Amino acid sequence: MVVLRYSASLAVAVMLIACGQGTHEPESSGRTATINMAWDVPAPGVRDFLLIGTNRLDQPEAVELDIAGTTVVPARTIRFDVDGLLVAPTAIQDVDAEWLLLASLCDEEHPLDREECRHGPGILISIAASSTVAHVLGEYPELQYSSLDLVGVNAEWIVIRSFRDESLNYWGVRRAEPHRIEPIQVPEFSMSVSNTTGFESRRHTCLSGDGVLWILDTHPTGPTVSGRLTGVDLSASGSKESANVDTLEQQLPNGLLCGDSRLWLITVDPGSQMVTAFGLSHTGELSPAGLPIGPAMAIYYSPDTALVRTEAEAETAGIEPDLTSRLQAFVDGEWSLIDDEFPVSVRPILSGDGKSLLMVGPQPGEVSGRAVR
Amino acid sequence: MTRSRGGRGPARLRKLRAAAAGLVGLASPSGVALSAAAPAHADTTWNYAQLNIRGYAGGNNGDPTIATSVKSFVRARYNAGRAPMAVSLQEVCHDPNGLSQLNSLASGANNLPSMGYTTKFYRPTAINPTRSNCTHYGIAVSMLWDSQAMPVVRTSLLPRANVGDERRGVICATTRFGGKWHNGCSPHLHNDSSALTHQAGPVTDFIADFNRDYPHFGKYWGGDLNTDPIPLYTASGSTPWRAGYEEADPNVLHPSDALKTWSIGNPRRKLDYLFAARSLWDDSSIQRYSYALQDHFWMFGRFTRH
Repeated sequence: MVVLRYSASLAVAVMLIACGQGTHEPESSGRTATINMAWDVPAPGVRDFLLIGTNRLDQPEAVELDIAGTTVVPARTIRFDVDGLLVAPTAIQDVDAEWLLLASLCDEEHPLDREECRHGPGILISIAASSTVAHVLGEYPELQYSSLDLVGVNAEWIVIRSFRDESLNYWGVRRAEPHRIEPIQVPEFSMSVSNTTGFESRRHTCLSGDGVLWILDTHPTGPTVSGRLTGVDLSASGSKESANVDTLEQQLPNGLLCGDSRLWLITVDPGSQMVTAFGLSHTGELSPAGLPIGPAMAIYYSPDTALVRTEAEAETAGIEPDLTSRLQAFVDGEWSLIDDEFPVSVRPILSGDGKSLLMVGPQPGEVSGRAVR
Repeated sequence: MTRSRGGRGPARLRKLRAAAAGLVGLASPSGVALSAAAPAHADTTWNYAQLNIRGYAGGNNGDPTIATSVKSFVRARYNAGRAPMAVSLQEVCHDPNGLSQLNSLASGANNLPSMGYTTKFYRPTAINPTRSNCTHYGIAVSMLWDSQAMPVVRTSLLPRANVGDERRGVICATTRFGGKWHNGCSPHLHNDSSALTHQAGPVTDFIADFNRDYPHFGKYWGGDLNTDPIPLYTASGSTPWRAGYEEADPNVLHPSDALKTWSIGNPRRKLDYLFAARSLWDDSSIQRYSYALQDHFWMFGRFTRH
């Protein structure tokens, strides 16, 4: 989930970029666009990025960012046609270049971008291609007071996950009837904790392109973790298929990605912090050998992509120690090195199709981008 | 930004120094907590840090590398002989099954235990099993610790505010360092006016109770109170605000001059506080630092006894 905000005028920021003010050439390829506003964070879509600003004193706006070669440019500014303010919008871009946003509405009395400010309904917002106005597709009181995630979108469904008071629920919105939200029946999830390792049960979810909501529940069983995989076919009235997943020895599942023909399970070895990707069949069979990446500092997930930071190295110069990190991406079943040295204070965001990379920071408001393939 | 407490004239200062002359024994084990120590008449300074690290909000999503910035922040001051005695932290992510900010504080380059810190964490909100790297979300306090004595930890879940579903809390811990015991607390209040009526009183009550049960030498508490100073100081809680404490910012009650700690919105606001027991110091100073993708400035307070 991505939470976004800005404190200055987005219009001014866009003007600054357009006029070339506040920009400078970065050390690596690509151009850094310094945006004169604080704390804006882009939301990765399937292909591109959306920079969303919300301001407690103003109406929210968004800027679509376009990465042309190695240059980040604002493609269009979008005004939200909503009565209230957005909290924690999560964005995904559909195949027809339509942006879909999920957010909570927050009233003007409360500051934005705080976890607790979710007392409005959940809303689904559409930004059509070439449009400069965002439209509300539906408002859902069922999602009030909840943490929300946009799990995925396909031609027929938009799948939403909500979490409130330790209750985890999934919801489907049909593209043809966006004003109506339906609960998706999924297996009950129960927490368990290993007495010996302290590892906890976890739920990982992704939506495949052919409309199956895949759910992997993992449970610690002593020093190992085993799981149960459930596929919920949304297009076939929620029919389910389930399978047990082989025991994962010394590997903790960290994320589930939906590939075209199989799933990918990203794991972390708790001792070495080694990150590995295992193929996972729809019948619960794990590939015998995983694709290792190395000790991780952090893992980020886009709709179909994992991004891993490795190998921090301390630089001793200066009173404020500086650190660098390496970035590798897991796209289409392969790890690839994207950047071998950048500051840890820069946050990388990869588009869902793995073709564009946006770097946020190191100073608030700075973003740079580049095409990676 | 610095100040002298009480009278600011030379006579007042001489009086304070005379009173402090008997303050021997505040020596600095390892030489890290105190900028000057040991001989009588030497100044004695205690440093503290208050960091809301925005571990999940703002698109940070539990990014463990935020902890790298925390460790660098502490290491830089440690190397300069200004190690904070306690670091209060809010919006901290933890995930026992993954890579978490809490785990990262204790591992890798500049890890806090290597500098002599022990960290205690409290999760007032429900476990969210779907948030990679942030299934647990809460507050922490890291304190210097040179003793085999087990630190005491006490936590409290605060009453609900009028907003949202996320719960907030307060954690207090004790450690032994430099031959003396210290208390450190880290509260996080809701960002809503109802927090002042529902949560401020319970926080001060809780801290007062903790200090009564553990009447130790050092007393610090720092937190993101999400409230402007004047309403905070004038709120009618069951325990008076500041009882036994004073804030590091000498201009805390001067809205135009107080060092602002929240970088969002216009005007900027002071929402984060560092309180140290009045018995420890005469002068204080406060500085703020901006880190990438953070909405709160990170605060570093110094409390000096002349």
